[in-house]
Amino acid sequence: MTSPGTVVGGTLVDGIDVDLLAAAVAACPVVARLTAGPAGAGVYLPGRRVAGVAVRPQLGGDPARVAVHVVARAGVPVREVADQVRAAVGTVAPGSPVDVAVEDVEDPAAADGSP
Amino acid sequence: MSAPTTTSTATSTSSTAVATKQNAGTSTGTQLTSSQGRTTIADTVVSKIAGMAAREVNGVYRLGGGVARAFGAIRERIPGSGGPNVSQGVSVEVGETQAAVDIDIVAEYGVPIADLATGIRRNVITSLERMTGLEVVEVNISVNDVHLPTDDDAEQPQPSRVA
Repeated sequence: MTSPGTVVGGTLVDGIDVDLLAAAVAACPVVARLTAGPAGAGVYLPGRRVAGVAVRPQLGGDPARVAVHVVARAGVPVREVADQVRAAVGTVAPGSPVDVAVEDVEDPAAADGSP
Repeated sequence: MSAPTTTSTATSTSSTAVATKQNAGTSTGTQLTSSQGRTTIADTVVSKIAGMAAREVNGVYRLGGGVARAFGAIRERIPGSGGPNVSQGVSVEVGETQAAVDIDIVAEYGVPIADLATGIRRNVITSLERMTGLEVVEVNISVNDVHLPTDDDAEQPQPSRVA
């Protein structure tokens, strides 16, 4: 997975740095991780896929629409997840509409075992 | 290099089947036509670059439709044909300063096709404009098939009969 803090500049897609975007979302305290989900959401790039974020260009020159698919931490209200994700996306892609999909909630038992 | 123009082109593509440049005609391919001569780029060049660019995008299983693949299978076996055809499933129209590309692909199962098409279009346009300087007016993508994970069992290449 993308580790936050190490990304200095990645691939630009429609003027949005998708690697920075993924790192910003993954760094949110209420986000366990990004996920492609069953729909396979992601940015499809040569040789790789940035899972969990999708940048969809809009007609008429509007800022591209950003979709973010995340696994939330247990016990956090979904509204709060959405707010934090929107704020994080806003720092990387200001002005873009953000669709947040909470695909799953992290299993607290599994989270205790992993660092 | 025309890096800034390349970025703006990718931005102006839409997620619909046809991506048309907003500013078509305003920027002509001055790199290709100068007062000291004209540079011509063959169709093969454009189709190979487009084929490679489409193929390398994550989520594309392979290029070509049913008919193109059937012909390709025969073609590869003809001595002197040069082996696998890089530009299989790609057809292009090249003018003096502009190019239009049609691509047939087989997608991998589970990939959102609209997002995949956006990714292919972006990479094809970027690669072509960077390498040829041609203005890409449209990239039409048709998805002919979806490759299922279970298909792999039936497609195992036959082991070589000689050592």
